[in-house]
Amino acid sequence: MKKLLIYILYFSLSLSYLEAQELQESALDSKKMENDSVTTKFLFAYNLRVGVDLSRPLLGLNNQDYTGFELVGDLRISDKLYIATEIGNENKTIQSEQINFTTSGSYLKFGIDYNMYSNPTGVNNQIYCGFRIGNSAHSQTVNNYVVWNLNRFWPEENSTNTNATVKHESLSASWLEIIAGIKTQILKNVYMGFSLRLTILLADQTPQNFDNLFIPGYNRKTDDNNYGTAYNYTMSYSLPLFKKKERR
Amino acid sequence: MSRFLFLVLVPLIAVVICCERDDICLPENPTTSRLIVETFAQTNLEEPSRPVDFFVRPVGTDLELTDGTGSRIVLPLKVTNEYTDFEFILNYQTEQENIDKVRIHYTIEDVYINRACGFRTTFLLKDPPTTVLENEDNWIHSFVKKRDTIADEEVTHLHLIF
Repeated sequence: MKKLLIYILYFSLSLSYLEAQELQESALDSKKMENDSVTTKFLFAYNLRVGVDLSRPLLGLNNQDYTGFELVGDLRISDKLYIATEIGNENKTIQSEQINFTTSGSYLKFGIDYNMYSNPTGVNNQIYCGFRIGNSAHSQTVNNYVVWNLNRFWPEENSTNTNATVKHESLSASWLEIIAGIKTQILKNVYMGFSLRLTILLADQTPQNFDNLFIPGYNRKTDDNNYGTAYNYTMSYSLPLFKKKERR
Repeated sequence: MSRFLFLVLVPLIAVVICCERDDICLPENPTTSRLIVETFAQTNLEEPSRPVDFFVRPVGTDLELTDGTGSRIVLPLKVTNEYTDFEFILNYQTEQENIDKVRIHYTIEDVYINRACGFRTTFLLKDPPTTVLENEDNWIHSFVKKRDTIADEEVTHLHLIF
């Protein structure tokens, strides 16, 4: 199911790319015409865009074991480049194979987006790729577990060890994200966006006698490798700060 | 075209890399160990030997121990308790049947293995490791602690001397 969703996303991303290419061509044509008649044009605006991730609160509505939110922001600093950031908080209780644990904490991501889509003047749509450096400060709580025992003999061993609650605090992790995504204006100054992220864990401070099986902002950490995925689905509002002009 | 490739590749790589391997705890991983006891006659402490018509019965269950042969006994310890009781029986099911009820004392530490396996229990035998609960007519002479950490079944943890 999860895979299917990802395929659909990928398909729709490619479609929107093709569509964008057509738009781009028509935009170029109109630009040429503008250049003939107008002597001053806007190069780009220093746009600040702020918004929220919609997927996390939605997930929280459906799931008692999860609460989370994420604020997003980006600032256009040149024709193609945006400084971008995400800040968020997640609380998640997971029943793993043998262990029930709760992860809670906050994260901050910071990086650059490169816009591959040429906008007509005044619009700030994006088909972008980029990267982030992510950092989390979190805690892990082991709620209960079933002891791993191949030679189970005593009947009470089948029950979970409920007195095992141990909280590991002051943990941290840092990771790198490689991003592909889109942002489209749906109303004046209101943008919807989606991004898919390939995450690479750089370092994490593991709790004693346990592991960071889940990291806020990074997602699931696996035993086998340092890679993961993340995504967000955002709605944001664009505030034009000031416009950079070019004289001809 | 290269941009298009990028849009294709990132999700594709993400899908391939993140295919979750089923989280199955493989039997190669260390598991919770049992207590290994060897029996020795007082007359010969060099060579282990098995008492006559010897039988071990765990207290508090109808289940019978399945592992352990000859002078080597394999005892499962409770992971929810700091002691486990066993009846060591000499001349089992004969007229001279002699039952010694023994309590084995230890402390518990659960050690994290990995995501799939979770935690396993390791035991640390206390000092003294055993007490005999009935003090009449004991056939067991003593227990000698050989290894106090019970984390594998390769070594003998206790010697029973009779």
